[in-house]
Amino acid sequence: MAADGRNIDSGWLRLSPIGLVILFVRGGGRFLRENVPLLLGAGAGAAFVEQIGPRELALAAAAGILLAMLVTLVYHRRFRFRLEGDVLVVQKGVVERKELRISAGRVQQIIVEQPLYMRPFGVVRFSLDTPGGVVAEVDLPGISRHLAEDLRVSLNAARGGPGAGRDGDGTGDMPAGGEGDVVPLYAIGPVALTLHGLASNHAYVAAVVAAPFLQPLERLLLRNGHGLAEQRWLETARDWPWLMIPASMLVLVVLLVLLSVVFAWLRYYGYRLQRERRRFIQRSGLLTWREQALASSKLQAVEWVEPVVGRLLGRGYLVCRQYGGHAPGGDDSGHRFVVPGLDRSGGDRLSQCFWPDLTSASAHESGSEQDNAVLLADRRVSRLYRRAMLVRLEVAAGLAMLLVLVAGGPAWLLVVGGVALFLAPPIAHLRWRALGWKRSGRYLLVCRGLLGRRTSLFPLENVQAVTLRESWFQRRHGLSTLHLQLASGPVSLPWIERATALEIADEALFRVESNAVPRNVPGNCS
Amino acid sequence: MPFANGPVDPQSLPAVRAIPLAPVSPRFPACRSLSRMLGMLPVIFLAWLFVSMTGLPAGLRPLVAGVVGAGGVVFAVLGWFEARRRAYGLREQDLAYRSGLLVHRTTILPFQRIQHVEIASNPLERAFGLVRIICYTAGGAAADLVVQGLEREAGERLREYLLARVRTLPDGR
Repeated sequence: MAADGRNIDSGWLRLSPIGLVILFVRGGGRFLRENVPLLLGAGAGAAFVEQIGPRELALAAAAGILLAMLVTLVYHRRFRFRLEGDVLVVQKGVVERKELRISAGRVQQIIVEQPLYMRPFGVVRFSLDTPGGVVAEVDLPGISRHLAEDLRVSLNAARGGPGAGRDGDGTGDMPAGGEGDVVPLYAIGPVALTLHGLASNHAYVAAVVAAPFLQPLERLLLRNGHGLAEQRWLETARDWPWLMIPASMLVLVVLLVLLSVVFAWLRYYGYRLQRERRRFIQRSGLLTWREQALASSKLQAVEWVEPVVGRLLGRGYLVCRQYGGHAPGGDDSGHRFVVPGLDRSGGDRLSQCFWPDLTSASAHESGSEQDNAVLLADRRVSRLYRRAMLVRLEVAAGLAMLLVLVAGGPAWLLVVGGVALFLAPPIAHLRWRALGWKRSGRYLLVCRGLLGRRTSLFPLENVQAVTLRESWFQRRHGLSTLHLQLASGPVSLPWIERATALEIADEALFRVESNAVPRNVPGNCS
Repeated sequence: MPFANGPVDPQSLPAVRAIPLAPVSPRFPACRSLSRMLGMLPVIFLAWLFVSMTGLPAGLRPLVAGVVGAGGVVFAVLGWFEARRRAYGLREQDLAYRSGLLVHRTTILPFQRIQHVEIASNPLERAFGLVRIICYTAGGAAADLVVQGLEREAGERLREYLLARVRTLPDGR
């Protein structure tokens, strides 16, 4: 029973009154994001304002806000949802009425978020994903936290009932238990959180976000920088440019890294991962509290990511890949199931939690202490890959230089081409060194990268389609590239022996077609 | 079902290399060549634009025309031979499709992974009486299999067969 007296089984439910404000603010934010750059870009906004006058503009804005409030009010009044057995039904729409029906068995991830501004009102945002959708399929902004919890538990219970086996997860032999069967798997500490901030790519993201503001900032400084010109340190900087340029770069990098650490603390503060029956649940967040629940049967692949700095610090993070993968070019960072701040042994241990028979499979294969290194490749691809990569890079750089020469381009482009020619051999070597793979029973592990590393681990029965690709050069040397399509995205194993590629392809197809192996059964990792 | 993880004998697995493949329609190479020639039209337009806008010396213009023309012919001829290599095969549990001339590709899609099947044809394919079968999977566009160069009747038969197989399979996706 929800605290406000509403129960998920008590017929149609509506968003809370504060949900009206949340809908209005979110809609306004979306409108600004989508339209303001169009209006203000290239001075169009200024010309527009000059054309119609500020008073008319204010009137139009007021009318627009009133209309938006009215539309939001109607949307809020018509938005309702209920749980009918194991089906979540959502009705919404202003002009066009929509009814969405989602079976509990189809739900692969549930996210409950509570940003800072929702906390005083005790409401949360509840969203869920299904396979095939790249964005949240159902979004309930502004329902009480207790109702969200009730809904999550009910959906889980519906999956665990008679219909639980529909997705073929083969978990019918799981020990019976209610939601109380909670196994803590991982909790992050302050040191690991800080190291994750240092190691993660948030710094690059911050740099990309900050880049558009640099030019306006420069213009602002030039316009209002009369006082700055008299600063003594600036005069010193002018006298020592070769010292000041690296120092400025260093300050910028330190600022970005600090920003990255702050972001990591905001996003993953108090991170806890636990298993509740057939789901993995993570909770974290300093300002925005977030809970993500991932159905173990929907887990397609586990990716161990070690960025460049992470490799130096011995830190990485796990990404649990589900159906649908990530939206191409879209921001899906909020929907990725990421386990942050792990060292390699932690990554190994959690991988074994996600894929419980991974340990025994490794032990069966090699029978050595190396078994514990689950996420470590033990085989390289052919050395010819390095040669082919080198040829590709050299040809690309050579053609680019030729084009610059023919078109009479600037000399610095030729210098860049020359540097690329010079860097091609080490790049080809690093690419080859990073490429590795391992078979562990029914699992395949593929590692790739340049300076950083991305290691994909998945059971062969999760493969959707298999493609064998052979160039004439590969055929001459008895090599193949194996493309394995997963529901979470493609994984390539390039330049391996043809016989091995065929063997892996045969086994993957056999496991898919024979349903020989049960789907993922969460292990006891306590 | 009790959990089990027994070994699998690699020798007992159905082999990819043993899939019998049947060639696609003999009309497909001509269709493919024509399609590639039509695909060269934008390149020819760009070459004409380059020649007319850069003021290329008159002596070099035949050279550019020759290079573009020869490229188009080679492209179309390669398309012809590539189309002749295309073949598809059906087994009890999967569909295989072979393509590529310099780079050989063989894709195998288990019926169990097919979400739905579509039959499609563009005006050029219709002129040759050909269709293509698109098998959609849960893996997105990269995992979808497109079987090109089927005669309409064969395509419709294949679609019906695939749909029937998909219907009879347990929902294990």
